[in-house]
Amino acid sequence: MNRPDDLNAAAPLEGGITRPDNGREHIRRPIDETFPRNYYDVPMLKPPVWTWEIASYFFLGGLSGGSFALARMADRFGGKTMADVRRIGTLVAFSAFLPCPALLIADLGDRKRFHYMLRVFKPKSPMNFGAWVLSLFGGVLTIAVLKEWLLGRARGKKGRIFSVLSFGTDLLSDFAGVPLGLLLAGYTGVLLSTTATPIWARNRWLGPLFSAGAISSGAAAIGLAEAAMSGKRRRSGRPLRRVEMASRVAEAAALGGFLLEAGRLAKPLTHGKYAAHLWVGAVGLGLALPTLLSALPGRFEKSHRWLKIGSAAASLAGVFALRWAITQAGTPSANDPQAARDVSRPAH
Amino acid sequence: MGSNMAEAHPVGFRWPMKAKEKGAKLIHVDPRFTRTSAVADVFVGIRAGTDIAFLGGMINYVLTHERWFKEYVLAYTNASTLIDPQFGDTEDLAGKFSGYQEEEHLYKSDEGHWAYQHPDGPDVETNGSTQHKHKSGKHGVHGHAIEGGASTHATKRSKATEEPGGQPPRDETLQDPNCVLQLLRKHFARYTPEMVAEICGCTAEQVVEVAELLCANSGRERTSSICYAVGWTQHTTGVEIIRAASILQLLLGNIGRPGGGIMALRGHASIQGSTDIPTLYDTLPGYLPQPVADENHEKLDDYCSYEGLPTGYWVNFKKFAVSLLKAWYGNEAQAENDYRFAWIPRIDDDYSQLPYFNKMAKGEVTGYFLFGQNPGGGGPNAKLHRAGLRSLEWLVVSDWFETESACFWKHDPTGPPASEIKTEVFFIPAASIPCKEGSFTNTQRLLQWHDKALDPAGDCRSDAWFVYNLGKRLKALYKDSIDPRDAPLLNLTWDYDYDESPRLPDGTVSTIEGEPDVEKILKEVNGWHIGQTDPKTGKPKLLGGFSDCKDDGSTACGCWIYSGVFPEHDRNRARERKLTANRVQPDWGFAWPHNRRMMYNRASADPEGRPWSERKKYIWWDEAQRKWIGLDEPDFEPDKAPGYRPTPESKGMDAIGGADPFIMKPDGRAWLFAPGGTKDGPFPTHYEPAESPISNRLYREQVSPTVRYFEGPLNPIANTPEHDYPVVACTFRLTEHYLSGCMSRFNSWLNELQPAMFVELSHELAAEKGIEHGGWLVVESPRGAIEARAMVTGRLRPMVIAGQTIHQIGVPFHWGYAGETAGSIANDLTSLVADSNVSMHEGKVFACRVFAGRLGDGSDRPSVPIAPWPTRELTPETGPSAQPEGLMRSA
Amino acid sequence: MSDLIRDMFQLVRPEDIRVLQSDDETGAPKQKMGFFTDTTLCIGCKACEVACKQWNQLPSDGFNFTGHSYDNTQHLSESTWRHVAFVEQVDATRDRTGSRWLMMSDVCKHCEQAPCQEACPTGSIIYNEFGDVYVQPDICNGCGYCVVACPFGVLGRSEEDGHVHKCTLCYDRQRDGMTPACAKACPTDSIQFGPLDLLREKAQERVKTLQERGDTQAYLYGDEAIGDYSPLQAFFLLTDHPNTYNLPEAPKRPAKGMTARYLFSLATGAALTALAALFFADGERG
Repeated sequence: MNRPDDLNAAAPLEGGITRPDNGREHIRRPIDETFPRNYYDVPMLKPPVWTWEIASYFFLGGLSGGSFALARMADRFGGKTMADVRRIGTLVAFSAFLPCPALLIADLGDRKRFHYMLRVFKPKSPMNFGAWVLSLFGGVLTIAVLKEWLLGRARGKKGRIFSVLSFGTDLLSDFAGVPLGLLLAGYTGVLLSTTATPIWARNRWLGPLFSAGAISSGAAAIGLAEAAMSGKRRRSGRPLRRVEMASRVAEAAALGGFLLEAGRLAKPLTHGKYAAHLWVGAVGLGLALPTLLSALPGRFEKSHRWLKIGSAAASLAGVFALRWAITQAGTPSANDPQAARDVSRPAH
Repeated sequence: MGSNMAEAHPVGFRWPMKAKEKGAKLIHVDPRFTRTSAVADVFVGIRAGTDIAFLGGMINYVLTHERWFKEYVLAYTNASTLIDPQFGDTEDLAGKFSGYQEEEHLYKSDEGHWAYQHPDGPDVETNGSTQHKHKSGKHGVHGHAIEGGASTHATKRSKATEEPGGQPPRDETLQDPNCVLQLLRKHFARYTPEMVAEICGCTAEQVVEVAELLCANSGRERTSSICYAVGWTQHTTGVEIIRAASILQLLLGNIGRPGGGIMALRGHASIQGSTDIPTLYDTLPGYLPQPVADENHEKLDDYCSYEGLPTGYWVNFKKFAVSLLKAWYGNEAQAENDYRFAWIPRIDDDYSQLPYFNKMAKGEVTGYFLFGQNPGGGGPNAKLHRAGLRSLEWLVVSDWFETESACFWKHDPTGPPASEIKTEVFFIPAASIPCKEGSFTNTQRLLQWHDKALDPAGDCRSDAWFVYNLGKRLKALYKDSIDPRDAPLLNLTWDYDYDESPRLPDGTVSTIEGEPDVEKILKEVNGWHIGQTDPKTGKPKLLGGFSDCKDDGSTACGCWIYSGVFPEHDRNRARERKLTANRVQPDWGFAWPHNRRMMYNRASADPEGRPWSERKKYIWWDEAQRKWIGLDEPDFEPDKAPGYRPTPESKGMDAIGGADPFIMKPDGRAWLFAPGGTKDGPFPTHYEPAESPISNRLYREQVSPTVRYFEGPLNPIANTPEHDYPVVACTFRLTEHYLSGCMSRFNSWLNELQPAMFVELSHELAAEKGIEHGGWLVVESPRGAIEARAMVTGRLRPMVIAGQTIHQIGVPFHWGYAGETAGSIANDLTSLVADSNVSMHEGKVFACRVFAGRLGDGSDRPSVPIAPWPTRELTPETGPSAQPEGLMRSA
Repeated sequence: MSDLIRDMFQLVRPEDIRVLQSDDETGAPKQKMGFFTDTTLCIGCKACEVACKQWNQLPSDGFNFTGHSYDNTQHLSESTWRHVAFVEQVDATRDRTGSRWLMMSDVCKHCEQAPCQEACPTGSIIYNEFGDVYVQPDICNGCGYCVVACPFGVLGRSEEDGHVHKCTLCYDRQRDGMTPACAKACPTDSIQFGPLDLLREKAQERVKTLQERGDTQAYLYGDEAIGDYSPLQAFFLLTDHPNTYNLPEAPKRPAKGMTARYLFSLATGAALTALAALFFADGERG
């Protein structure tokens, strides 16, 4: 009775509800169509319990991973021009990383059990995967920072041991740190998409969006740090700005993809309480303004450092605003029973 | 009908649901579409208070279409009996029966000739009245009259009679216009489907549909059952509604047959037990009447002959009475002193709740004990009840929580400030159910014992402890008294101490001092042979059943109908839980009387003693063994052959023939026409409720002419037919709360399920009054006003009655000012008005008006904070349940 | 020590279904136990809701008069593990005979492949030896990820202790050979507990019986896979569209396509990093 084969063979019951058939459902309306299929507008799903710590972590973690990747690329491919980038990038990455564990722990329901995150190794769970990535990345980053510090201190006396260690550290940073950093940057997007919350659910663009944002915020942060340290024009400026531009393009594309795929499920983001965060913050400040500023001819290179700082800050603010908005919009999305119904249609 | 079984008796409702799965049809007739209606096959919505019209419609249909079970009706009812031709029906007298006394507002049935014809012919004056006991009529003594106190055979037995067996004259052809069946036809002739539809607010098709279903499912092969609860009883015509159902079921042959009958769904607090034992002022244990303060009840023999009957089972009346006196007064009660019958209090007035509280409100009562009762919230016209409580000098309340009746002096928002109240209230914390042992008696007359699981906390004590120790202290207080008035108290047998320290199921000794051994009480209720010792235990030999009762003082029995529950010292049948292949399950608990699971089960076999059908066999006559056998204990003399016929001289049970199942009646027949036992007529008649916006469509008499009113400023009644209060209200219950909320509104798990007082009303009424769903509304009756949240629902709908649109609302009565959740008291709207038979109020229907808004009187302010979340403390270890896990799961 | 290490590095296989352990000598795996909730037998008494609260000593959800028919607790949560839904389909303008009042006792679905179990980072949520989804309360650290992973909105995080709680299918009672509290309390056997395969058989027969009786709207929800979502070990017999009961029509497993999403994300990062390398190298040269 009601096996898929029977379902296809027999005529569907008049006015009744037949059972879903592995993708080819024939859910019919009940006999009486006057009663709404809506349970008093009571939400079907539960909203996330996360608060400001999580959006902040998404931003800082991404920034850390992105800036570290850039630092390593600068080291490997950038030569002398990008030497500072390596150092500054590593420090920026480390500074951004430091608050991350505390933020995550603060957000837990039972903080003293934070270390249970590493009780198992379960890559199937993005959160567990992320906890390992964060921990391992933190370790690599610490080693890299130590190396920077030692390098900074030990002038001249760089013996064999040091160069071997240095070589080993760089290897670790490049082959472990960079992938880990990139994972740290993007896994949070995948984490959000591996939920039932309608605005995020199974959306393939969140990971890329966060990854791109990590690179752009990493580049902006490095640029900001450089500009803040001294206003002098650096040769690393232009490559960094090119990286920023490229990642902004990628961000915009990913954002567009995200909104297209989510469709009307993205309404809490595009129209609701967080619309300002999205359009003014993420798009305006984060994407449009820095792009406009960077389109200023040549003179930008010679321009006031505050413009550089401002542009970088806007970029960073935009990336943060995006994470904030996307994360916070999860709550109205989950609380919207219509969205929950829509995201669980058979054909969705 | 008259019940919302799924909501009010959900556990019992398991069985109708199982029956439905086996093909039974569930029919629900009710003013509201409830959770019962949701699972019923057929639902008919009727106007509250029109049940007799509806049932009358059923009777009319059955008679008109000749669908009654002819052999059954002829043999087992008084359908063929001839009634005194001077009897006047409501059809003759514009809504009254003959014999109505205008000044006293009651009937005198002897003057009304509600009597069987004299055996010597219709013109002979029937001598002795069927209602002679109630000549004084001042007080509505009730209880006993229903079962068997009345005597139709007050007609003097004529030695010369044309009928064999000294029976009243009958017309077996049922053609004589004075035979009961013809009178019945005449009485219900105008209760056609169309008329019923008009009165009830349903359709004629629905009336016919239900009637057809009942008819089709009755007869030899099938039976139908009717279940009711307070939806029927709480009316000024309550008793007559149930009478109407009895008549219907008798016509269909459904009484005394498996799957048939009328089930009164009784209350969970062992209300059945509280009428058996009883806690009613006018009955003694086992439905013996409390003697009245008149010459007919002075001596024991007067009492027995007045209240007993010469024929039928009540011939044993004296045996039960004497055994009761021996139980209460032990050796003091002897034949010489009339077994101390003089010590039994006499009734000199109506002490039932309604008139009593009316007196109380006038300041005529000094003190009061309340055990697990909440008149402050649950009494009809609760404001009057609270006024009564306020005028007491002292009040003792024994309950789990400070209910409305316990804290009226500080929390009643409708009452005066505490400084103006002089009542001294003593609150005695009561033990909860697992902390005491005892028996419950349910609808089916089944006694089930429950054990004590653990000691009550702190000062909480069981009711038995309280009463027992109170009695001990009173005895001690009066021990030196020589006032004859104190002798009954001093001589009351009162020894129920445990022989050994009682143990809890886990083996530990109970720490409660002074708890009575309730099993000893049950043994006294069961009774014993005085002077005979059980060789095994050295204790008195217990009675095997009420047939062991004697009238010579050699037996003691605390309640004859329960006798047999404790036949041996180690056998408490109420505790037994044996399941057997016999679906009647005779070894589960003990049913009174004498473990007869179905009363009048002689009717399950035809006059020759053969089952009406193989499918419906229950008990039958076995010629070889010369006795009745079957699935149940026969509610009949086990060896009386079906062919036995009494002679004119036969007395007692000998006057009951072998084909007379209704042994409690003097003629052994079920009464379609009730010559005695009811004060408002021998036939049920549709009257409007005491407050109604509709005129009676059937008779000139609007309300039942014997309804009792209690005049007073606190109890105004609306004019009827009423136009100032045009909305019909009925009270109802929810599964989530219990009675007036005393036990349930102190529990967060129940409060969160139904947290607020609300009123159900239709979309139409809400629209008319501008009431928003979820908003507030006010309901006003002549007695007062309440506020509640509005539950606007399609489950209630307006009805068109005689061209008038009538709105109904439903008012749950669970709220009050005491509890974690508080709300208005529904009973502040109901009135103090009583039916004449049992002094029952009419909480189920009254008149009101409705409008949007709030009173803002603070009635929703809780009296206690929300109890803290239960801790994670381990619960005390208790032994495994006697009922094995999963026992009831097997279908 | 080896236990600790094993716990620390509990590698979870892709299918994520734990082999049901048995503790008798035969080594035979225990049966999967579940619930079949037949809403056609429900009388809306809420005994299940209260029995569950009492057995598990859960706090109340607060007192809110919702006006949603007789449903004042509204949904499952960390403090309500059985919840009875009410839907009045009584149209006052129509004949009463067509009226229905749907009642349904909702519960955690104990999905055969449970998104909450997949999401849980601490390994707190497991499949116990009865195949039921169980949150180990001594491990949960309240990260809240399972809360958003559940497509039915079952789990909630408690403000009292910061942990997530849900129906345990009375794991403690089952271990003592007893019936879950809700099933035991249900007077009409609307909630049936037992071996899953047996329940599925019974349920299919029941639907057949109802359909033959004229209740053509009766069907089973969750006895088999719904689209690509696993079967539910606590499944239902419903008589209207799932949305009417606030259930998703076709729930989605969040982890489906996760690997692809990871790859897409990584690819984006890697591409940009590579581009950066290019720009940096270019910068060096230029």
